[in-house]
Amino acid sequence: MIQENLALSLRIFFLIILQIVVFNNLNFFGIANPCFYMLYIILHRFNYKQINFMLTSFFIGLILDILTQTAGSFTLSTLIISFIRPVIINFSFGIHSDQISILSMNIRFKNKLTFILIIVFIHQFIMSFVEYFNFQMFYTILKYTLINTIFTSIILIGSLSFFNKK
Amino acid sequence: MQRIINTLIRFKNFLVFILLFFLSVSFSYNRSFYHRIKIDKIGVIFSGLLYTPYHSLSSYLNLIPINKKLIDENKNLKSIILNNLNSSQESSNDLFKITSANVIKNSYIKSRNFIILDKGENDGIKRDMSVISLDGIIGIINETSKNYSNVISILNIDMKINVKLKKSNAFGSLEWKKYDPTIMELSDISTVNNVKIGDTIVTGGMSFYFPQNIFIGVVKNYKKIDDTGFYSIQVKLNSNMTNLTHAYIIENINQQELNKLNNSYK
Repeated sequence: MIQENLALSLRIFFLIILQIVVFNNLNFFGIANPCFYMLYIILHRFNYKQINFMLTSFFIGLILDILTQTAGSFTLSTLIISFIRPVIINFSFGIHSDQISILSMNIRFKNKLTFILIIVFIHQFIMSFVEYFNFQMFYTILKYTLINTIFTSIILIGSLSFFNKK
Repeated sequence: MQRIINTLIRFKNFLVFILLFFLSVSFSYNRSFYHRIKIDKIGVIFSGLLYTPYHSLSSYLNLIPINKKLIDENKNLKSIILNNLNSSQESSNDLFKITSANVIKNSYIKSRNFIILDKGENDGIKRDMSVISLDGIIGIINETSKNYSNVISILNIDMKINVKLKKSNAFGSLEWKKYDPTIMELSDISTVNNVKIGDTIVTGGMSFYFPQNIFIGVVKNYKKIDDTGFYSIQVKLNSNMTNLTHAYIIENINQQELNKLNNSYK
């Protein structure tokens, strides 16, 4: 149990460090910064206690907000996405949703892609929305959301295939 | 009891989510000035919507006394017009534009009281305009939405108003010390001046908010503070802040110009 928690903390630590040092400074097209730390939300075990998962996601968001001087956009988006993740799992995997993790699943690539795209899109939308917090800038928010969704999904799928090969 | 606990356990995920959600929102609120303004604005819109039905009912029931007040006011205004026509001096009131509004929500029991009016940006109301009633002053506009505005009441412990004694023109600042919505405290009046119970207090006009010489109240009690050379004066307000229904919002037409001048010397 202790070992498991330690491994989890280490993973979170490395994800946050990577996000801040590397991925927040990529600036594709001047605006797109992929959210690599979402690997945690996607890879995390499906049968883990929901409360613990929400708490850890909340703290990841809070730490990122504090370190990147943003006004709560990471916290709100990771919190909401961790709350609605079970619904998205049921939606994208159907009868296979009782499995432990996305890695151990022997399932068509289409389902995995749906899962990742939905999670990343909702997450990015909430994040851009909190950042701008203005309905009059809806098209700007949508533009940022789409560009960031594309880049984040590409990077997440790439790293997933890396894990799979291992 | 067991049932309540069972329900709580069943919805524990949702409850924790709501708790964390409010934590995140308060984090945003405290971290960024922009988000704070936006969230405040949502608050003003909601409280405006919430209090409008209540206000429409109570204002219908209060129509008779309000009509009487309006007639009184018209009488006063007429007398002012006549006085102005007869005097050769130019009136300073031409600098101010007046908008009337209904009070939708009024509080006077907290230490920081706010009032909500049913006029907003659509009616040309902006931040920092002053608000008066028929028989005294009410406060200063703090926040506006499209159709509503939020006023910092003079019954707010953070508020200080520039006033003067009408008789001796001695300036001081008026503030509220909580507890009684009819009494305020006037300080910074030097003991060089002569003060009597019953003396009239009017607005000073040194801040750009209120026009000068609006009647506020009378001296109820006063004492000299030892070793300071200043009076501590209790002022009985002329207006009754607990049953406000109408308010008049004053726009100083030269406000921008005055602010510009004021800022250029900072």
